[in-house]
Amino acid sequence: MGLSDGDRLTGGEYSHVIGVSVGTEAQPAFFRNVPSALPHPSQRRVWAPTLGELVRAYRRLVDPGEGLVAPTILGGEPATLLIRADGVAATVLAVRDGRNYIIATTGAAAVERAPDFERFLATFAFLE
Amino acid sequence: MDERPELVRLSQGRGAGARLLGVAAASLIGTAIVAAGAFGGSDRDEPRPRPAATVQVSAARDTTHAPAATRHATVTLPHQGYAVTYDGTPMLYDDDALAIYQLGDAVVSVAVGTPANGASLLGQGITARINGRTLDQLTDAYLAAIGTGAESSAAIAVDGEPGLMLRLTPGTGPGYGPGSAAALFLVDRRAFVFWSHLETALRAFLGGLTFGPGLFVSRDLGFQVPLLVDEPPFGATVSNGEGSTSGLWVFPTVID
Repeated sequence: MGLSDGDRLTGGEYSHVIGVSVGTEAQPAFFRNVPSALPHPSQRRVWAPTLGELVRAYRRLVDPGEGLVAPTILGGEPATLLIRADGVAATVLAVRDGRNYIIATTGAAAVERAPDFERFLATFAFLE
Repeated sequence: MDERPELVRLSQGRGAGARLLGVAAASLIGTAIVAAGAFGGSDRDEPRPRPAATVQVSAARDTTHAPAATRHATVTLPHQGYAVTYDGTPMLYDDDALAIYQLGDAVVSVAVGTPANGASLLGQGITARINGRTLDQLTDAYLAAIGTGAESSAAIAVDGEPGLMLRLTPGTGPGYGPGSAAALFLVDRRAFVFWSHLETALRAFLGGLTFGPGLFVSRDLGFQVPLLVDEPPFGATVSNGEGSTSGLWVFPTVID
């Protein structure tokens, strides 16, 4: 599978994006799944068995930005919100059923969240 | 695998049109419905009803060339995958997946089901949740849940989407007198159950309804999320053939 860098979506141009990356221990999740002005990290995948370990592993791998970390909820599960880590506006990390979820958002003209990011998180649901 | 997951090169955003976050109380409608027994029977699994707080009430989508007499208010629930012409504020329950609209003396309930949560029939006083991968499965689940059967069924289309109109057999509940009807649709992985005790009101309601945006569902990756715009997400899901799956999807959005 190849995911070319910088492909443009069909039918329009967009001001913001939200990226969802999912990985397992066998196939760790990509991060930097939305554009960032920072240099690419040397390592592009991460996996950890628990949320705390995932947050620590992720923060070791990327620029911590403002270093702000806050608890949040994703799909009814505990999650962690990171502000401006890795040069993107916001990143949410979650762990469920052996999977790591990395949800990031940023904008085209500025490092800012997609206007619907909170609603996106609120309506995100895990499937059994 | 190509490890270049930075998928989208962005450009300046475009306007999405004016939106108003309309916040209005519609407790009278809910009170009337509850008093009439439509929500009879509590169910601990059902979320508590709440007044409409997040419904977006806006002008109709394209009124640029429409004469003033044809302009209508629209209730837009993009995270539930539909918009409808309605001059008022519905009562919303179940994280907005269940909405109650009042059209004159008639009540129309709209229940939206997803793979994560079936459509709640609480608007009909039934605590069941239903879903189906096909319209036939959804219809079977619906008829089994209401337990009254249908006098007749007819294929219908709303916003180009095929569905089924059921004229319900009069039953014992307050909502199942002569003339009650339900319309069922499966659109973009969502199950829609429209119901009213008056078929004429239901048909009028459906006449102002449009579907979308869709719902992204990945059972392999274990999540679903409503799309923010009509454009589909971009990305891929990859399995290693040994039961492990990873994926990367990018969802575009626009500036309001």
